[in-house]
Amino acid sequence: MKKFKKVLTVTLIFLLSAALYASEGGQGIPILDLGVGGKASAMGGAFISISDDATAILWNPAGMVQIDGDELTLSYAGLSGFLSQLAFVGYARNFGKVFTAGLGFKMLFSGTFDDEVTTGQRSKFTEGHFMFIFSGAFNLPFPLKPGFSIKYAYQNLNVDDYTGAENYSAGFFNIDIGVLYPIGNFLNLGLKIENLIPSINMGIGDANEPVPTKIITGASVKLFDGKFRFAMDMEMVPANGIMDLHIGVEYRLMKSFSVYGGIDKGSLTFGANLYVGDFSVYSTFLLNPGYDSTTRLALHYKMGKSKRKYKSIERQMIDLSKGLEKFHKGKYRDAQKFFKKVLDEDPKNRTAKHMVGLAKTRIESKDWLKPEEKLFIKKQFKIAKDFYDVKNWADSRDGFNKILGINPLHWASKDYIDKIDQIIKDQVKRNFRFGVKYFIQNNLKKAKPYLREVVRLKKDHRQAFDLLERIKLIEKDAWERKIKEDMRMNNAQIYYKRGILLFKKANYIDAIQSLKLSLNYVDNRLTRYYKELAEKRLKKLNISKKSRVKSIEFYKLGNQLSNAKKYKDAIKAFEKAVNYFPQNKTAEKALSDARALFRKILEKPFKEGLAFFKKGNYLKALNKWRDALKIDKDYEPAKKYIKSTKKEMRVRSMYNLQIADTHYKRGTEKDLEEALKYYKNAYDLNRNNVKALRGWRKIKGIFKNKSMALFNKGFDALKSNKLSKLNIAIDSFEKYLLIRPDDKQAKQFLADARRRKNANRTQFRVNDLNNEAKALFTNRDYAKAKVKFQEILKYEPNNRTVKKFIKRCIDRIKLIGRRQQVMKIFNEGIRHFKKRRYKKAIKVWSRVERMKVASVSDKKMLKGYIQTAKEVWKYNQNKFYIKGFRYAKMNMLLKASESLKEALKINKYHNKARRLLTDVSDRIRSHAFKMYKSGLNSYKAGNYKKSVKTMEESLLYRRTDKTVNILEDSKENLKLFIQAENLFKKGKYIDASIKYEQILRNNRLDKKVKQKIVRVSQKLSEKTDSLVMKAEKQIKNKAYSDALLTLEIVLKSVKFKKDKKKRAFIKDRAITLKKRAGKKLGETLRNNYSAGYRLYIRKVYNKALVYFNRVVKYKRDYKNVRRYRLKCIRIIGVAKRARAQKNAGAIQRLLFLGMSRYRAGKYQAAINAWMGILRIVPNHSGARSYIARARFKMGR
Amino acid sequence: MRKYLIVSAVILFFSTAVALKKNPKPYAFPNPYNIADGRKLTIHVPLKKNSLITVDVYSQSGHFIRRIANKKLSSISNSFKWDGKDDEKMRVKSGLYFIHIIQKINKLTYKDVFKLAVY
Repeated sequence: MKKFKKVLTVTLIFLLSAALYASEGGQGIPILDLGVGGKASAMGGAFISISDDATAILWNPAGMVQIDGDELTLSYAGLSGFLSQLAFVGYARNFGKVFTAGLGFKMLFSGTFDDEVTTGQRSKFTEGHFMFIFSGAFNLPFPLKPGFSIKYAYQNLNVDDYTGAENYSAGFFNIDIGVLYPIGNFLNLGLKIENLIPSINMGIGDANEPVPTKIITGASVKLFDGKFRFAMDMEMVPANGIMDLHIGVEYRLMKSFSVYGGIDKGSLTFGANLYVGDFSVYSTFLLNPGYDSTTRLALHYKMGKSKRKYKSIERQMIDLSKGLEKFHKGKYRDAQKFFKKVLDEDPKNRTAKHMVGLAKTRIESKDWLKPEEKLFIKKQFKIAKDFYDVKNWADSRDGFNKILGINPLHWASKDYIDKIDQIIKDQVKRNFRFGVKYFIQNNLKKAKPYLREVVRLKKDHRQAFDLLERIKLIEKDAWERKIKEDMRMNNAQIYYKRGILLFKKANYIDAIQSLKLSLNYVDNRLTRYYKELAEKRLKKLNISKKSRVKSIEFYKLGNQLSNAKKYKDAIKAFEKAVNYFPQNKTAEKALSDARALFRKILEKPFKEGLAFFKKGNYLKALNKWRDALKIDKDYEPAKKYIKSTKKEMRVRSMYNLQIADTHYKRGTEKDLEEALKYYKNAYDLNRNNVKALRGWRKIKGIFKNKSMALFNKGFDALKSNKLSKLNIAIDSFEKYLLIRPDDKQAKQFLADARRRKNANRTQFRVNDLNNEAKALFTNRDYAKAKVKFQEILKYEPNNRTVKKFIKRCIDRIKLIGRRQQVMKIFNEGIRHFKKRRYKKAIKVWSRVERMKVASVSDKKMLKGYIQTAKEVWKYNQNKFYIKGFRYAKMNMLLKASESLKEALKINKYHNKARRLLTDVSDRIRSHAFKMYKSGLNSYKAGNYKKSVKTMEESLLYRRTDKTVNILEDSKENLKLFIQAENLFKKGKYIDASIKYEQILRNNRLDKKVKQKIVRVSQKLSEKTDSLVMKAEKQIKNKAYSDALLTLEIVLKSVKFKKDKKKRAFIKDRAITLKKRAGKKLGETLRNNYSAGYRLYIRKVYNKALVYFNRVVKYKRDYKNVRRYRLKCIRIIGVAKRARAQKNAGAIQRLLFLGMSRYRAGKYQAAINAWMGILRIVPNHSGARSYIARARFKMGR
Repeated sequence: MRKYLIVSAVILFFSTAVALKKNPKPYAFPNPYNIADGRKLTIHVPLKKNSLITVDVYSQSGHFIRRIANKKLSSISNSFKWDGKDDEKMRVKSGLYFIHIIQKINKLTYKDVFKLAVY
């Protein structure tokens, strides 16, 4: 402001003083005298020494040298209340660096005047002045800048009055010369000689009105850092001695705004200027005492100035970079050229100046070398450079050093050596850092190569050398330890194997010794077990010391027992024989033989039992195993099987009973027959099943009357002697025996029927096969039918019909194969089509056209599909785009985004959709952000309900960690607040205050809760003692966070305590406790966080989450815990979803597999498949119900 | 910035307002005025009562040429004569001139300008 005042006072003094000297000039020629342009007019016409815009064409042509590029100016003024118009259009342009040309057109036009109405007489005239100017200016290499203009002016007056109509006109050519002389950056001097040819007449008609030559001199000064400019022009007409003064000032208030003031021959002028980009707008106001005030408007446009400026900068940058490149390559002369180019563009460029100097010194340093030395340096430099490129630093450095030996001023080599040194330094540092890191981590394998690299790069690196030595020692130690360990393990293994071998041979004494030795090397649980077992068995044998005689005795005894088929005793005797004298090889052999024989005898009934068991004949199996147990009562497998079979039988009996009951309840004859069968089965399986017995008896009673009919039916079938009726006979007798199981005759007949059937087995088999095969054929299962038919051919090789059927099967299989291929492709296409990948679907379907095996009808069908797909593709992409567009219009952004994504899925080049999608997603983001902000504000204000609502809405639009965190906090705080309020109402102030404190810990800005706490703490002021005790207990129980909260309450409520002494005491106590709890809490937080983080790095997200949750529970914003926690949750969620998706596929597959097996009658296999589902999802209800159904079918 | 914009806008507004102000219509006869004719130019002014009147001639380029009248008048006379000469009794150049008429009544000022062609 002070500065401005200074400027103002200086200006006023100048203006006033100038006004004193202002003289009134002659009449002049208006088109020449009237000034144009915004700045020039505003500065009172003191513009000769400034002339820095396109109006310089008129003011001072030499000033055009200051124009950068080209400039257009438009100027307008309405004189004397717009009775006369003054306009000017000028254009100036640089041609090269030296010459600037300008063209101008000036016009002063008052139009037509008609006053006939007022005067009643003809009084009409039209008047106008026009001037064309061509100017040129020369930017010569010395300070003085000359310029010229050639102009043609024309004046016209058309009169129509009582004397008649007449036209008067006059025109002339003339020349102006101008000079501009800038001194430094602050002073400009200017001179202009106007109308160099003085004798030209400009009078209209007869009047002789010469155009006088004018000499105008001017000076302008810049002050206050160029912000203020003062200019003064002196105008002189030598012909009549008239002098005029023009004074003007300019003050730049800011970069784009300036104000002007001036005195133009006694009139005051003011103006202002506003720059907008390359435009500048002037408004000027001329105040002429006594005359009239006029306003002038001017517009200047600097065409493409900024673009040229940037181009110039760009050129400079390119040249500079090229120069630097050359410089670094050592081509200093070329580099110098480029730097000089830059200096031509911008002589003030410091970098270029500096680099030119540098290049010069380097060029000079080269010139004193001999030619052969120069050649050598060139070659050597190339070699060293090659080494440098291959990263062979040592050789490259040597090469460059050699060059420096000849020419110590070879800068390029010096540069390279510096670079290499730096690289080596960096590499050494990096490698050593890694080496040490791995050494500390005890990863010697990784540390070694790094340290070796360090030593290679820098031979005197002592630390790396020491570390390598240490690694060597450590590795040596480790190697020795490993060998020892291996030896130990080997020995233990050898002794163990030997011990086991001896143990198997029943040589317990030696076995114990060997196992003991093994245990000495390695303490193994299995070895110990065998050793103890051997000791136990040896104890049983009761052998005190070795004796050959006794051994032989026992051997003989063993032989005798074995001959008497008392194998078990024999084995014992042989064992004793072996242990009395381990070298007794015959006893050893006899023992192994006896054992083998005994095992054979035992295994026979056991295996038979197993066979019965597999057939489902449990009773017989049980009997066989019991036989085995009679031979050896300690035979474990038999015992085990008996136990499990009994259990199984009980279970099956119950199943059978259940099935029988259901059949019985249905009550039809067929069902009753079935029930009878199942009741009988249930009773047979478990004789203690009373219910089954009762059921059997009940149905037996019902069928009693029918039994004879069954018997007769069977008998007739048997009697007919036809093979086809044998099955009927067997069936009838079986049913009959269910009713009367003790009928011996019926049993005999049944056995007879079965025997006969067995005798004609082949015929039955062929019939069965034929039936099965035909059924399969009709069901179009040609592959299986073919197998069955081929089996028939084994029995009847010449069966023609079967052969025919086989041929037909083969044909059908081939046909189906082709069809399947087509269908596979068709299905693949359909899959793509359903997922709206129409292009892919079309591609897949069109494969069929090239297939030879495809039928014509298939090809036709797929053609139709392709056509439809094309149409749907076209339709759908627009449909989804339109849908998206509508949703976007209705502001349903999420739906819009979905539809647009769908449209893009169909056609990823749908540009409209893509553009709209970006717009929609922007809107979504901004909406989410808006909601987030409002949610955050309500959270800060303690309005958690609203916060939860808004945050949830925001999450719908966009999921960010911040939003999730605040939503979580809001939810928790809301919960806590409700709890606290309830507690407060019930009068449980302590609990309520803890809840309030928890809220406050989550959100420090909650004023409402703060007030509540104050209220509660007033009520708790007398309970502080117990609270302190509570806090102490909590600290003892390691509940530091709760303790801190309690102590916080104590500190708040203790203020309201009346007893001063007690107040101080409790306060001190609480503070000390708080410190302790805080320290402990910090420790636990740190531990949990670090544990979680370690797991997180190892990607054990499940476990890490547990630790992070603990930290969050105590302190929400502890380090980066929330971020990591959210990441963990996200990763776990993703994994879960992926697993579920994967499982869904597997479940579906297993479900279908089970179904197909179930339909084929393979119930057990179906159950197995469905059990697979239960293994993935234990509560899969579908699988469970299917399994139950299959079991029912199996008769369990 | 805004301050300066407002200032410049106000300047522009006032200057145009002054220029566009409507005046009562005076006239000169003969217009165009031929000096060589020997007749004097008569300027007719519709006078207000008891007004102080000033009649000036200005050239197109704003140069003051001559003051024809400057006196307090009753409604007796309403025409003024000019011989086509400037202050220094020199014949004016042919061309366009502006006749400025200013009347002052009490505190009010009325201003008129019209074109005059001289040849």
